[in-house]
Amino acid sequence: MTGRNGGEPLLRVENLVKYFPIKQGILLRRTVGTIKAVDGVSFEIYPRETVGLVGESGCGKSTVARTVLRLHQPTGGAAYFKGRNIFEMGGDELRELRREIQIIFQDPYASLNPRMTVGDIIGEPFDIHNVLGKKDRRARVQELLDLVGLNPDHINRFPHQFSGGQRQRIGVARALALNPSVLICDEPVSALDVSVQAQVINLLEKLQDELNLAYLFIAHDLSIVRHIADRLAVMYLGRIVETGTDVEVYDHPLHPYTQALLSAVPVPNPKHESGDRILLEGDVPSPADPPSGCNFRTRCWKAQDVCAEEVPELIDRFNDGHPSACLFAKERQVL
Amino acid sequence: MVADGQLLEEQQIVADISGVNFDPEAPLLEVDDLHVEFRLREGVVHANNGVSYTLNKGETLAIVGESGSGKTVSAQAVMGIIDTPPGYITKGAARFRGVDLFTLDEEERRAIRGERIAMIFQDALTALNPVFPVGWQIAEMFRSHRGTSRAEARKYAIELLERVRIPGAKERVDSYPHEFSGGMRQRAMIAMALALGPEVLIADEPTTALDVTVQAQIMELLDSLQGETGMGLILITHDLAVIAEVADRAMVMYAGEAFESGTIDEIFESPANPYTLGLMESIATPEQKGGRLIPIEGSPPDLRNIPRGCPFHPRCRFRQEICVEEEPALRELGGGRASKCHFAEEVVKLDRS
Amino acid sequence: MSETRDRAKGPKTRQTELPGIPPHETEPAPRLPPLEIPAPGEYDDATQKEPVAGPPASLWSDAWADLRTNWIFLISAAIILLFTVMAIAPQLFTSANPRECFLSNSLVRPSAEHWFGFDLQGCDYYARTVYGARVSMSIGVTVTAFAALLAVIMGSLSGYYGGWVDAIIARLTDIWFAIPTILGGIVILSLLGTRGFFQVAFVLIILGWPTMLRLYRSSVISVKEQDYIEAARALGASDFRILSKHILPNAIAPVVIYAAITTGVIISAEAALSFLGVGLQLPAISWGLMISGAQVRILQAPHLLLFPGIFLSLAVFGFILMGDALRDALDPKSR
Repeated sequence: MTGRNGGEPLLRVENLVKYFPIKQGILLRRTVGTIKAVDGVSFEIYPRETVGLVGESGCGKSTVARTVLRLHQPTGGAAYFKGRNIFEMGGDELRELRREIQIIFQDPYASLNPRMTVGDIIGEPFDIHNVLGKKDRRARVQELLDLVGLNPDHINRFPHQFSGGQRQRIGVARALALNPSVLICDEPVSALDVSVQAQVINLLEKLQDELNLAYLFIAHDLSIVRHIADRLAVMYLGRIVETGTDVEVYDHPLHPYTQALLSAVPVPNPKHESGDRILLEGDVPSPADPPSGCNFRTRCWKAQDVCAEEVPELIDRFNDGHPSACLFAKERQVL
Repeated sequence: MVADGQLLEEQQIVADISGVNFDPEAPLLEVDDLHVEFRLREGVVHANNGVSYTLNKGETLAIVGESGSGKTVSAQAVMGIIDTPPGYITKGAARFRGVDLFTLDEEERRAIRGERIAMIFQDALTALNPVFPVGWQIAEMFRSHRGTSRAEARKYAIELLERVRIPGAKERVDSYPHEFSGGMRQRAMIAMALALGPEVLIADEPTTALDVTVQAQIMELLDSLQGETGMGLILITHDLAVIAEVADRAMVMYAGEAFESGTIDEIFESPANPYTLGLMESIATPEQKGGRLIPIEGSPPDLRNIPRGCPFHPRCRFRQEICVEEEPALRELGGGRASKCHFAEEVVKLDRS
Repeated sequence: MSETRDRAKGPKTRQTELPGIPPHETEPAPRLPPLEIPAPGEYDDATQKEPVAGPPASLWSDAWADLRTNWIFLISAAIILLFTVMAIAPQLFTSANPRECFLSNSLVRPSAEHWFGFDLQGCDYYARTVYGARVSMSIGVTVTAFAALLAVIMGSLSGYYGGWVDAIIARLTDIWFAIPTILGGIVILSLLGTRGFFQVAFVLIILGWPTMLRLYRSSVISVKEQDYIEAARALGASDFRILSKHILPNAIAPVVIYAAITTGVIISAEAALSFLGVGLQLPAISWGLMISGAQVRILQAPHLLLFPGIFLSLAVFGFILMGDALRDALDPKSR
């Protein structure tokens, strides 16, 4: 799958695996099980594009982000940034990497240290990486505040004095301080009011154009992802079930889960006919005990015996550059 | 299994022994000029400033608003579950079948709460008691309100769990809340709310914490349950898309006031209020892509410090001088449509093609 | 069927003129001006420069503002201040020398010139009581400060790193908890040869820090889950930086509160140990010793018990009250 410009990907994740052990015991903690949060995920991000990663809670999308950044230690797989494997980087190289890939978080109330001024929060990257003198730092912080649409005079205010949307902007400014080339956005607008979400989305789009950023946009809100993403990957229980451009996935979904997911999205139009809504049965299985073979089979209306035996690979089944992970993948328009 | 209609009737006979004169002709629920404030250390929070709405039998009314709009508080006032102090209902009435609930004493309110008017909440995990099995909690409704025997109550509990489509109800009736998934817990909470056959169900952000596929299931369940029982449903949410499918009428709240009300079609097609208009235009729909989203500038106000004049004026793109000075009255636009804006008639005529 | 639109196009166009309404009978109705749609990028920048709540106000300064008007705080602060001055400069309170004793004055009752009378040895009891403050205050403050320091250091490691470090420290504190403070103090102190200030302080420190460690450790564990800690790690901050700059200011509040209360408890513990004869020894001046000496003669000379008793109670009370006031002001729910 080639990106927009057909060049080399900035970030290439290959078969990423992250399992969390479930431990029990008082002194010597034994591992009694594993949570397979991410179970073999691969994707690429090219410069200046937005790749959306969608899925419901527990599918592992946030874990993917954190593992790529090495905030969790990976259990397996590789992640290449400009050709170098992130998981093999040592101390200094890893610190350098932090200047290139940054992250913004979901909760505007928890992602800023409440006891630091906004200026210190945004300026911390400079402090950690020892760049810019004090005076230059202040100027640059004010520049960043302006860039995200906040008043540079508020540099000495504290986070609790700002609204949710403004705090999210502060988080963006902090992430941009060292001029990264990739920004991971982990549900950046889910916790904001509806009338404010559009502000932040617009800001992200504007910044992408101005600063040549690539985004990994993680969200569960399919409407917003459609708006901002060029390509997207749909995750279910630790695996990617389908990838493609926004047109391919939204208008010609192949995997049954994608189809169910899209059909479940409510449309803000009372005249819209929801006749084709697919209602899934049952619950999402626990990631500690996923079904064998295809892990969607327990809720899939197309499931056959073979689905329990074989793990369907994410491959291009119709020779059209639109991979899916279902043995019985078939296009079905649901929107 | 007892037929649905039968269940409802039996219970109604018992429930009428509360000594209050309900008027069968009056609308199910009528909230009239409700004012609620919270007196806190940091200031007085004006949570509701003159909220009025009506709910009829079989109708779904959506109360839409963002955080700080006061939508949950109005429902809590109706249910009578606002902590006093620091919350005070300073004005207004909430009439259930013609009887003002605020004039009743606590005994009578308790009889009505749960039996006639029930409420479900956003987070089922905190709304259900974690130390008792789910079936026990549902059966409790029957035992405490009706004096039903344990065996009978347990039978009813299983029936209810089946009615809300929890698979394996017989086995799961003894499970604890944390053993259910989010969607199942929500269903269990709905079962508990429906236990005594209420006439009004208030659903406060019932699907906000749920995944979209589960949300679809729950909304479909509420819709069909409402169809079966004919109860009135008040759906409190910030999600415009959800209400488009389920609601008949809607009331948009902002800064503790009702900014617009009307049928769903009217509100979506020709909003009569700049706030509603702004909301419609700022949400992304899955069918379209492209262009910038058109946000509303600024953020919702702090309820301790509501701007004077029209509370929305700092963010309104149509703002005039009169909006800064004078608070707009709720203007009737005919046919149950109302909007709190000095220029309501003009906004409704805007061509949004 | 939906169409895709090129993102380069602007927002949907809308009619910009509002239909005028016919003039009212008595006065012309207001007309809305033509609506201009701001270009993309102007939206989000426009009023993000809206006023933010007040001048810069950190959470500490907010707490201080609260405390200043809290009468519990003011009273307790006054008491503590009183005893602190008494400890540092007892000469301000009495010109008499507590060690100048004349047997001729033995057990003389309080009078106008000698407010607290004299003790068995004929020492001015008021002077002795005043000088007793020095021991109590210095033990209280020293022990608490050292215990807090130990607790913070070990609690940081234990809470932040978890794993076997935490397991060992946690089990150690469990064992420690099993030792009752006074009993343990008695045993250890009676084993030591000389019992001066340092020995008593040492014993109280090692008996007191487990609780503070537990407290700080759980505070660290809850703070470390916050997104802003992850953000700092994603920026490349070192563990030391995270522990000192991010975690410490946010986790310290419970320890501060507990420290205030503990100081009172330590003062009373020292008095108890000295009373039992295993704490400080004569010629040290300690309220505990004075009370110990007074108990035999309680019917003859009740003033011997009364005055140090009152001072001791008042000092302890002051610290505990201070803890109360701090807890109200630093309550995490409102901060």
